[in-house]
Amino acid sequence: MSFFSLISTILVGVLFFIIYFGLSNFILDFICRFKKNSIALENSVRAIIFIFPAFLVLFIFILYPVFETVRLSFYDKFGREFLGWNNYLWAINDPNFRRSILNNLGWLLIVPTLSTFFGLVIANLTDRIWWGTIAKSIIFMPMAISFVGAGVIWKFIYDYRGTDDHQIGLLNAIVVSLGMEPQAWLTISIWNNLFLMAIMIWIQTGLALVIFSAALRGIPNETLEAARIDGASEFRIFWSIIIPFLERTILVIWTIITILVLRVFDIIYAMTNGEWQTEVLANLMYDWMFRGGGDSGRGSVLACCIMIGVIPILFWNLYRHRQEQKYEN
Amino acid sequence: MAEIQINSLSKSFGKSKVIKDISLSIQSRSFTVIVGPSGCGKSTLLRMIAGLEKIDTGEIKIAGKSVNDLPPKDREIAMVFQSYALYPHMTVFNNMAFGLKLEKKSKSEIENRVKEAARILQIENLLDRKPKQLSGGQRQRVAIGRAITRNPKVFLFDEPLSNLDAALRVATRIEIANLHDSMPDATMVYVTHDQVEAMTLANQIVVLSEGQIEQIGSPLELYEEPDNLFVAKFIGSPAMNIIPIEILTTGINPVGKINEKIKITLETKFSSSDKGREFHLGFRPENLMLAKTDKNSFTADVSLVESLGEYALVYANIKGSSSDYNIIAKLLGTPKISKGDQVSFQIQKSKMHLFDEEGRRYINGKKQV
Ligand SMILES: Nc1ncnc2c1ncn2[C@@H]1O[C@H](COP(=O)(O)OP(=O)(O)OP(=O)(O)O)[C@@H](O)[C@H]1O
Ligand SMILES: [Mg+2]
Repeated sequence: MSFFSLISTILVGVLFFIIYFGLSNFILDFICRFKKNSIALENSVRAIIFIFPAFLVLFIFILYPVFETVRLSFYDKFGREFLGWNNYLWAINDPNFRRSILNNLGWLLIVPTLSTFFGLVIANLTDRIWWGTIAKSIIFMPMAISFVGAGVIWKFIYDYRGTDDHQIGLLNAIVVSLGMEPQAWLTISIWNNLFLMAIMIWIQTGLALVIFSAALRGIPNETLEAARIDGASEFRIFWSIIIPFLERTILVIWTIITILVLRVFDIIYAMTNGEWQTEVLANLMYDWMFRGGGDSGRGSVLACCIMIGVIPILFWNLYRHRQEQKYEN
Repeated sequence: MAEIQINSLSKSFGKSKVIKDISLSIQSRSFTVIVGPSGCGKSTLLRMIAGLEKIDTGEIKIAGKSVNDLPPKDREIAMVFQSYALYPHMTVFNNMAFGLKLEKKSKSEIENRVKEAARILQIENLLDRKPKQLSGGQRQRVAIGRAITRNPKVFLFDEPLSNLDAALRVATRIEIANLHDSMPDATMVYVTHDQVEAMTLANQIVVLSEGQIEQIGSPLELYEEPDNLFVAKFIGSPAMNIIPIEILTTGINPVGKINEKIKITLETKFSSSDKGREFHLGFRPENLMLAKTDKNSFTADVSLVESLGEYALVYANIKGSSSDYNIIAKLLGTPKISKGDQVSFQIQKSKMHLFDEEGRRYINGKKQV
């Protein structure tokens, strides 16, 4: 597409919306001039006019794919023949699927918890030292790196060469210098999952740290001093004053990271490609959907599983939000 | 039994010296109020007593024991902050019980003490609420209650009333006064910049200015015998009138000159060398009256009259030799004076204050130290 056709497409789009909003409002005004006493109706119609385009976009790019995925999950690999629950039955009996579910659960339990925990603790500690800002910047930096980029960096940490070779991996270099055997870290199953999670924690701790640091500023100094006079130790203050104060922030961060983790893909793709029993749902889905000819039915089943995983978190968040609003009013 | 002894205390924040070599003793069971203009170091001094601020040099003793190196919790103090500083996620009960829980007191004792404090402060019906659900005055009571439950030897208050509206401030002030009566063993140190609070609550007032003590004394001492110009202007509202005066004659019935026309007979004894010296003559607005005789009176041009029914504030100008001086007179009732009038005033007998060039009180030919 040439530059000019791009520009003209944009112009046409903008023009279209100007005409759409202008015309529809004009018509509404025109109709309402004859029908007095219908302000409520007029307002709701106008609202629908304005929401409609956004809703259309939402529908085409989000809702439709969701329904289509659900539909495809009941069809065969080409999306032609209806198979009923067969794809789901296959998944339940597939050892790789079970492995992925377990791994995903592990990721969900460990990564958000540890990232939030480290973020909170580090935010607290860096507030007390003069080089805290520098430390924070360094810890935040991984946030700027893509997951694949992070994977490349950590490949060098976990790198393994034969026993006779020089170990260029950081971890093995340390292990060897301590007089122990070098390990092929990423192939040690079960443990290798933890090594992969470490990467995600390394990245997300920065996010948690920055948000917690800002939230910590919101705690009035006098409240902490009052606790100190009341005889609370620093740990007790952290536990009884700071954590309850940050409760909302903690939940928000925990949710953000949980949803991120549910979709974890890039790190595993770059590091092990799901081998040595490290696969998670997203990788499995990718494999079925796009590798070896592709199987849109089974791929969609896996996609649905991920979606189902997100739903409770979303509803829970929504519920909490409602509760808080109710409480405030 | 918890006197506080402060010996040559100093404190700097970076380059600015905030507390400059302060020595002060606060009697056990007294109610000491520290007053001074904003930024003079009142809070800093209080926070040093509490242990929230490090001591640069000097020493603080509570009940005879040096507390320089003691953390706040071991000083047997409780503090009430201006912002209340309640724990937002705890109920009122837990706010008040937090310190006791940390002391590992038994459940029943905690309950008793909290209930007792709540009864004194009349917040028994609020115990299950969170601070968010309380009004400002209620929050301040909870903050005071939190201090009471711990049964400290010393109470420290940092402007506890300044976030309350005028009516509530008066009511809470009276409650704090009652609190002191009901806890006769406690020593209270109270910081404020409101002189009404200082005058009404204190046995002893410490006037602080730029990190130094200007005067220590009972409210009436400060009012009647201010040691220096700063205290003279700071205590009393409206502030004391200060005008320069030159001594013409010394001896019996010495005379000072305000301008060519106004000469006033003073009550101070001067030494003969004082002749020709410039002093500051101070007199309170309420010690001015309309002149009944010509003797010792002076005229002034009225520029504004604020009539408040009970009394009227008359703002007037005296033409001085080099410049005009503004004075305020507080006259009882509703005097028939209006803007533009020329009025003749007299200063009540023995209500004149004389300060030397350096602003120190001057009595009988001696500088007050
Ligand atoms: N933590 C701090 N760091 C630097 N300077 C400070 C700090 N705390 C106080 N100061 C400075 O010390 C001086 C005295 O402060 P302080 O809070 O004691 O005043 P104050 O008498 O309580 O005033 P106010 O009546 O306004 O509360 C001020 O000039 C203030 O700027
Ligand atoms: Mg202050």
